[in-house]
Amino acid sequence: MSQMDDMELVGVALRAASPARSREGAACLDDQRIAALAEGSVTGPALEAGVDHLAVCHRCRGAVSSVTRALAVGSIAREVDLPGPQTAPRWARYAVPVAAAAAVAALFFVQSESPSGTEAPLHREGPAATAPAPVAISPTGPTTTVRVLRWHAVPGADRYRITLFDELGTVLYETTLADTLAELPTQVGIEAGRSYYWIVAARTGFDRWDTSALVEFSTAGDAR
Amino acid sequence: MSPTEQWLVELDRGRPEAAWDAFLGRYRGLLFGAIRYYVHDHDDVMDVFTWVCERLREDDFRRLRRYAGDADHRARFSTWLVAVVRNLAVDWLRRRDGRLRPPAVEASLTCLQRRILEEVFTNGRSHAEAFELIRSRDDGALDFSGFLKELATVYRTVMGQRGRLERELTAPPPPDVVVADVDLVVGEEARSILAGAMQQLSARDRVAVQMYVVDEVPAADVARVLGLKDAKAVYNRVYRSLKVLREHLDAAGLGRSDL
Repeated sequence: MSQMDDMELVGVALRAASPARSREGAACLDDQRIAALAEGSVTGPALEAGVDHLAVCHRCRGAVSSVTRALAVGSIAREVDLPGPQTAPRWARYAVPVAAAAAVAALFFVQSESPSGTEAPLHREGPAATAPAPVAISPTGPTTTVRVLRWHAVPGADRYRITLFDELGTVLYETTLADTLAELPTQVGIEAGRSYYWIVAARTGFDRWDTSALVEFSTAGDAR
Repeated sequence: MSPTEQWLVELDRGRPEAAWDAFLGRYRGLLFGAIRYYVHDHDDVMDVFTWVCERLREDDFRRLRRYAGDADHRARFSTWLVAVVRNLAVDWLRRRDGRLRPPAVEASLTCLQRRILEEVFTNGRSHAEAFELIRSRDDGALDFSGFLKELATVYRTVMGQRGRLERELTAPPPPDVVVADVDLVVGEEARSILAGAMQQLSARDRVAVQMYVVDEVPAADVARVLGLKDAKAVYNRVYRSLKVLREHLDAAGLGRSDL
């Protein structure tokens, strides 16, 4: 039996077995989390939790599918200004050779963008109103023990979002806080002899984030 | 000018009317675009627009203030607004269908078909649930085959007059409406086996199958939601999952005629 036959058969069976309506539960996703999943701005543990819920909740999955389809409609997409079909995960642009890192870093210094890595929506102001981007203090370059990430404060910023990636671009840790340092939880394993990347985004206005350059650091020792 | 949006500035200044004007000036296009996407009839579009505006303004802009006051915005404001419009449109449709049914639709249906309309479209029951309920309460002689024929007639009568959101909120049409050459009736046993087979898949694979196959979301968009590399990664997961599901159904001795 071909894949199309499988898809037709299982698809029709799944559709017919789907409940028409299911009630909202305590664990159901609110509008903001549904929107965030639909636009693809959820990463790390939050994404895993969201996917786990969608796998068991017909109501929320239907809502995410519905909003996702709506965002692809021209008249809505123009207003929302989402990027086109994703060809690489959000982290992929960070997983660049060291030789290209300087260019990427320069790009980040002059560009204001959301933490989701997507283009600024129409309702944001232009570059003239861009606040200074946050600048990393440590760790950068070769280092030994890393448990804390530090950066310079940005005037007017009330929140900072930090994302840590491994060499493959996988998100190892992401958090949002008001301070200018983030202590890595013990479960975030920083291994010797490996390279890591991190960025910090500062919230400087309504739905507006300014992102630092991508920072690389490497830990001393032999890779396992 | 501050990076803060004008409508929010006006709201903070205690000028709600100016805030609302600024908000509508900026987002009217998005609101209408989303409502037109979800609702079919022109009069319904205007009614839903009014409903959405009332809900956004109520309690001193409670919804908008709550988003603006959040410490951590996971979604863009405009994307969030689309989700809010959908949610409010669902509320509006349920309120309307709870008190009013289009007379033109009802007039053309038999008594049994009206009961099916009520259970499937208004009460949101699955076909199997609606069948069991109607047989137990109204017509003990009704068999499933006869029920499906009546159900198909109801769908043909109603679906042409329904918008996208109403279709989303209704049980999917029976197979003879969806695929003319496939005659599938999902019995209780088959549903149970299918549910068990789905449980064998990872959460991500399950959602990929449901979104791509059942909800018909384009693969590239499914990839974006699930954090997968690209559409090809979705195809791979879905086809691998379908093979697993198919093997479970085969192992249980279930073929097309059983489903």
